[in-house]
Amino acid sequence: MPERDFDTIYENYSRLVYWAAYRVLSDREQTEDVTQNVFMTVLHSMDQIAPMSDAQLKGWLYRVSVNAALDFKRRQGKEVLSDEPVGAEVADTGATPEDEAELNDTRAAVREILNGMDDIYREPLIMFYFSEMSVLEIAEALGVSEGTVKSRMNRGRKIMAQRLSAKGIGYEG
Amino acid sequence: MKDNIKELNFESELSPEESAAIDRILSDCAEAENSEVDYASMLASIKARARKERISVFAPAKKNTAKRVFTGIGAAAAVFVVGLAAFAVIRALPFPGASGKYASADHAPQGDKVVETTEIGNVQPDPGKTVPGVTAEAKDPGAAVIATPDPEPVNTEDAADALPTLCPIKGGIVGYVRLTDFLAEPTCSAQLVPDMLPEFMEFKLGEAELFAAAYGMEDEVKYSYSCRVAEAPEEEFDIGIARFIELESGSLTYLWHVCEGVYLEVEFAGFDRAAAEEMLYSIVLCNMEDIPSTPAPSEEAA
Repeated sequence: MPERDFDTIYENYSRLVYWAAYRVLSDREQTEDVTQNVFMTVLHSMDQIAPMSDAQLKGWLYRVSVNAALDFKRRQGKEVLSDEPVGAEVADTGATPEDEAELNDTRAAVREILNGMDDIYREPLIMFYFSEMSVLEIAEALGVSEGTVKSRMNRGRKIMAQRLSAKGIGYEG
Repeated sequence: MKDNIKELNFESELSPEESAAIDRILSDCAEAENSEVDYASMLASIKARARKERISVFAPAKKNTAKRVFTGIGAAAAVFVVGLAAFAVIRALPFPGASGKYASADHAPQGDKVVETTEIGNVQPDPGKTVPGVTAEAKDPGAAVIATPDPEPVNTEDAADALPTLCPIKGGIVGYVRLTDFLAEPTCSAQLVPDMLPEFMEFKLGEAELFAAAYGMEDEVKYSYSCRVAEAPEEEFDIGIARFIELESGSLTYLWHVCEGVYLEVEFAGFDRAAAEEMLYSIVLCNMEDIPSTPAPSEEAA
C-alpha cells in the first residue's frame, strides 16, 4: 500500500483532476473551483484513499472530478459549454513571433476542435494527453476495454487532423 | 513547416507519420495548456481552506485509533505520571547535560540518536517573566520534562519572553516548545512574517521524511508555509530548536499547536507509550547554555 501525503497526491494527480473537470466544464475559472473542491474531498477522504493502489486512486479521482464538475455545472445552470477566449495568456517560450503566432493558432484550433468533438473521442484524448493517463488507466476509468480506448483515440486523432486541415493549420506528417 | 502541409484522405487511416504529427501537436498543446494552469496557486488555496476547516493536509499516521494510549481523562492521569517519571529519569541520567537536555550528541546516552540543532531567532527569555501553569522547577533549564497537569493559556506578552518548558497535559504527551523563529526554506512559496504569530503548526515524521507546515494570519490575509525535509541523513532530523530521536516503531505524528506567543504546544499521539516517552525525552526545547547573559531562572529563584 503506497504511503501518501496530500502534497504528493496533489503533485501527481492535480492535472488529472483539473482536466477531468475541464472536460465537463470547458471553463478555466470554474475548473479551478472544482479542482479545489475535489482536493478538499481528498482531504476529507485520506483514510479512504490510504489503502488504494495508484490505479485505484486515479480511477477514484477521475470519477470524483467528473461528478464534481457535473454537480458544479448543474448548480450553475449551464447547459451549454463555454468556449473561453484562447491565447489570452501565452507563456514566453523564446520562440520567434511568427512561431508563437503559429503555435497559438494551433493551440486555439486544437482547443476548439476538442471542445466540438464528440465526447467519446474527446474524453480519451484529454485523459491521455492532458491528464497524462495511460490507455489502461483510461480504460479502467471509463469502464471499457483498452482496445476501445485505442480505437476511440485513433478516431479522435483523425478527426483532429481533418479539422486542423480544414482550418488551414498544417502539420508535419 | 507550412511547406509540409498535407492533404489528408479521411477515408483512410492516418499514416504513422501523420499520426505522430497529430500526437505531437496534442502533446505540445497539452503541455502549453498545463503550463498556464496555476497549480501552485490552487494548492495554496486548498491548504488555506483546509486550515480554515481544521483539516490536516498530511496523510493519516500508521495508527490504530483504538491504540491511542493517551486519550481522555484516564490518559491525562497517565500522562501526569509519565511526566513525573520522565522528569525523575532525566534528572538521574548519568551524563553531562543530563538535567533534561543533551548538550550535544556526545552527551547523549548510547543508542540515542540526537539531532544537533541550531538556535534560530533572537527572542531572549526574560527570567523575570513567568508562564502560567509552569512550575518553578519547570523553568529550570535543566528540566526538559515537567509534569504540569493543566497549564493555563499562556499570555502572549509574557510568552514572548518566558522560558520554554514541556508539559504533559491533554490527550497524549503534550509539551511546549519555544518558537524563536520560523522554519524557512528558499523553495517555499510563502513565508511567515517573523513577527506574525502562527496559529498552528504541524509536523509529521514519516519513515524518512519530515513534513512541517505553519500557517498564520495577518490583516485577514492568510499566509501559509510549509517545508519538506526529505531524505534526512540516517535517522536524524533537524527542525529548528527541537531535537528528535527517530524511533524504530515507525512513523509518528506530531501536532504542534501554537499556544500563544512563542510557544508551541506539542502533542504526540498515535504511538505506543514507550515510543511516546522516548520522543518526549528526546526533545530539547531550548539550550539555555547557548543563551548569553541570561541567568537561569532556577538560579535566580535560588
